[in-house]
Amino acid sequence: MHCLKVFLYDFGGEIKYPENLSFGKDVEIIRIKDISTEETRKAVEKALETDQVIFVGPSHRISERFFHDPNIKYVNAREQVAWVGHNPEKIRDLIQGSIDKLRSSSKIEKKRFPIKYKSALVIGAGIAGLETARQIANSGYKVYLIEKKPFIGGLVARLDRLYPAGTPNSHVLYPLINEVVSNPNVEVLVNTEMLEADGIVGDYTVKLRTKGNVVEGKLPKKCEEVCPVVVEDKIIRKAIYYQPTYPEAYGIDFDSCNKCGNCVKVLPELTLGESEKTLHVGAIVVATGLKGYDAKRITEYGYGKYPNVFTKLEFERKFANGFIKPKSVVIVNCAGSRDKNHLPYCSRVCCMLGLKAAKLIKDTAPETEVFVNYIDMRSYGIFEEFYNTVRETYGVKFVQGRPSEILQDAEGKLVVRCEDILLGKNIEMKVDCVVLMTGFVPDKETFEKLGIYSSGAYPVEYVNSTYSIDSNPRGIFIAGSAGYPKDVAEILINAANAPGGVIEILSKDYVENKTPTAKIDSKICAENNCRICITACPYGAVHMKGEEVTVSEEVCMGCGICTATCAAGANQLEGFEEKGMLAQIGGMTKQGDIIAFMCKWSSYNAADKAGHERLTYPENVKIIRIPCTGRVSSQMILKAYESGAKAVLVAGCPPDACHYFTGNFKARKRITALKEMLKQFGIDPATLALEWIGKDESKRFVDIVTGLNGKK
Amino acid sequence: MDLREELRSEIDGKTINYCFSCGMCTGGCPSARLNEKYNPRRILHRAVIEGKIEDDIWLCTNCYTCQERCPTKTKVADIISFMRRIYVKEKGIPEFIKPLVTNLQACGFTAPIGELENKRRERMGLPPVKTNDEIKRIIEKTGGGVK
Ligand code: SF4
Ligand code: SF4
Ligand code: SF4
Repeated sequence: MHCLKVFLYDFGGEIKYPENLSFGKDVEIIRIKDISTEETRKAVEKALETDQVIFVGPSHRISERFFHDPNIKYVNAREQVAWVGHNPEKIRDLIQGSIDKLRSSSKIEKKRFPIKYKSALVIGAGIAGLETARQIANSGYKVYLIEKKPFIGGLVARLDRLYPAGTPNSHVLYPLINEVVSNPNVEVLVNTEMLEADGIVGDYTVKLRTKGNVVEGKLPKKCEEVCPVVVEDKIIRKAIYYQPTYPEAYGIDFDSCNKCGNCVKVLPELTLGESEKTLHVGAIVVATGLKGYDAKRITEYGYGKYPNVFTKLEFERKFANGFIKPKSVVIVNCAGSRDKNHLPYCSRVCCMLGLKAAKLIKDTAPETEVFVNYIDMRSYGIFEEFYNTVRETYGVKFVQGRPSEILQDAEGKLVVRCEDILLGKNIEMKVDCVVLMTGFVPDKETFEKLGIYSSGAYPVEYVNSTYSIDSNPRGIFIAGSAGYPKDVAEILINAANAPGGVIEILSKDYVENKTPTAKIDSKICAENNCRICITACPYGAVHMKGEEVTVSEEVCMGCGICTATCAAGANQLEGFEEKGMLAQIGGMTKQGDIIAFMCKWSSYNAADKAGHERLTYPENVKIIRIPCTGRVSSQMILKAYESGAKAVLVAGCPPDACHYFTGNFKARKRITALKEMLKQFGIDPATLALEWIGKDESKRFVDIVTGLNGKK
Repeated sequence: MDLREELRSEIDGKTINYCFSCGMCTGGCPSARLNEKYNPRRILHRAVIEGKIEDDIWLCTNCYTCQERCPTKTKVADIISFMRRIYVKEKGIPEFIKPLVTNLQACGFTAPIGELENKRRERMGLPPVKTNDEIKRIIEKTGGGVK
């Protein structure tokens, strides 16, 4: 058995401790005078080298500021005993619970990941990838910037202008490209894709495939002339073509090239072959941007059927390059967006792209009649002014109502049928051309190759808290629109996030895990092999590696939702192992107690607040701090009853606000089922309560536990 | 009766809250195209805000175009049918619907099918339809029909 050291801190007399505290001869009690001194810190650290440590004093919120070792067990004797006027004797039970827990738990090992390779791979050389590469390279690290297309510049390079002002993209793009490609730390690889990646922060191995080669400095127009393949890429071009970004060469679009070899005859240095190469990098940035939603799927709008129905990018390319000159145009916002039959989300930028198209038309051909169909105009922030300009100065007509169908009449005019909601009746608009403001979809293929988990279309980090302060260090970052649709200004501002993270990692010799993670005992797991925990994890951290279920330490956030689902006991969250939890519950519970499992993000803080406010509640309420209500297993609740508890409270974050997305809803499911079972054991199900308690709701917490105490 | 309560009691009725008033239903509705007074979007909105049903709900042809296109998956046509049930429960079958029921009882269709209709069907490459008394028998057996 380990030796145990219990540090007691009385906060200058604020906390009264019971007389004759003693827990047996191998538990040493040490009283300290001040939590904040170097001396205290050293004493605790020294104790941790050989013994298990319990620190009794203020709430975790305070104590965790002074000590960073996850192996310390804190007992909150200030907020949850002294300040609520409870008998100091209660502290004895709380400490006993912690002792029992520690004795049944294994030590949490510190995990370190050496940063072996001081270089980064940036996938995608659009505006976000370029800006990311620029910042990392300028900090002195090597960057491999790969681009799937024959030229860099991404979507922006193929646009004509940027909203709101209509600034030509050259203002942003050209200087950025020059700065990046001239930096000796950057290696640009076009026509290159990532085939696979493996590894962990600081040490990734990636395999790349490059099609063709780059012959710089020679631009024989004849290459293009002899190419037999005509490509409709919004505008007409050949399979070999020139784009004024980078490289300064003719580039081959291998998706269209038929390998006839005509261009090679003109320029013998060209090759049509492929090559593969393996790189080692310390970090990876995904800057793969977005694709437009396939407009053909919105069958009512006739895209692909009627030649004058365009998507936004197509229209801009064709119009700005003078291929079409319509006299009247309908711009359809939200085409296939906010639509459960297509893209259920809002792509954020399309309303503004619609205004941009309207302005582009009016700037070049003011006599054109332009209508914009919309459901709601989302011209947030500064863009209201843009909306005003387009309406006030340019006289664009706005019709509220999303078209229901688009037809073509005998003269080839497009007929847009919609309800004008403000008129409350159906109208038909006959126009030369319709522009569909379709939404965007991310590049899921790269996400999958890198194990980036998305719920819905976009990676979870942008939905909630994957990259919150408690997440463990990761070597994979997302930049720009790959995360969710953004405009160019937002991309350039946000692009600082990913390089900041990369530079932080690359500048260190190693990074350390912050949050203890779940672990799976593969032997026990193999006997059961239910794989339930894979679906339970809200972050996709639990996955199959070969035949084994494993937890990715980079991705795991330490919620313990998976642990609570594992019936075999193979999956254990460090610091909150089932054995330890059961021992703690058994050790601290007395006959007639109310055991409250409270999550560290919301409800536990509400109980602390009851202390600050010197509210009081029944003394028999004993609180166990848990990462998430999703960690509370049925066994833990039953153990509380078995040890004499007369009621159990499980309290978590407000609905939809669980720090781990869905832990509280999973708890609700479990508890609803458990209540049925309680009846069979002769326990009144009303004594088991599940509540959502926000951090400020101290009064509700008091009411709830007082109510539970009234129950028999 | 509170219409909103009634709607809430049905799974499909609850979807009335999904609607964000985009107008796609009305925009494609054949009945709305022929009759300016008819507007399925307004029928739903009126139910949510005012809790009212009006006679216009009987103008729906049950073609389901609205429901098929609705981006929020509101069960537009089902809700309108449901409102009709509520309407009949409250006020009985409205006078202007009775002839349709009489037709149905008489020939199995809400509108009599004659030579003209079958000629049109022939032009469209559809087989002719015959009137039958099957519906009549069902109606009699179940005690329905217009008294
Ligand atoms: S469910 Fe929670 S504890 Fe388990 S692997 Fe996922 S993030 Fe980690
Ligand atoms: S189509 Fe659907 S969301 Fe749009 S107005 Fe009709 S019912 Fe509402
Ligand atoms: S089902 Fe009724 S409301 Fe819907 S489109 Fe058809 S006629 Fe109009």
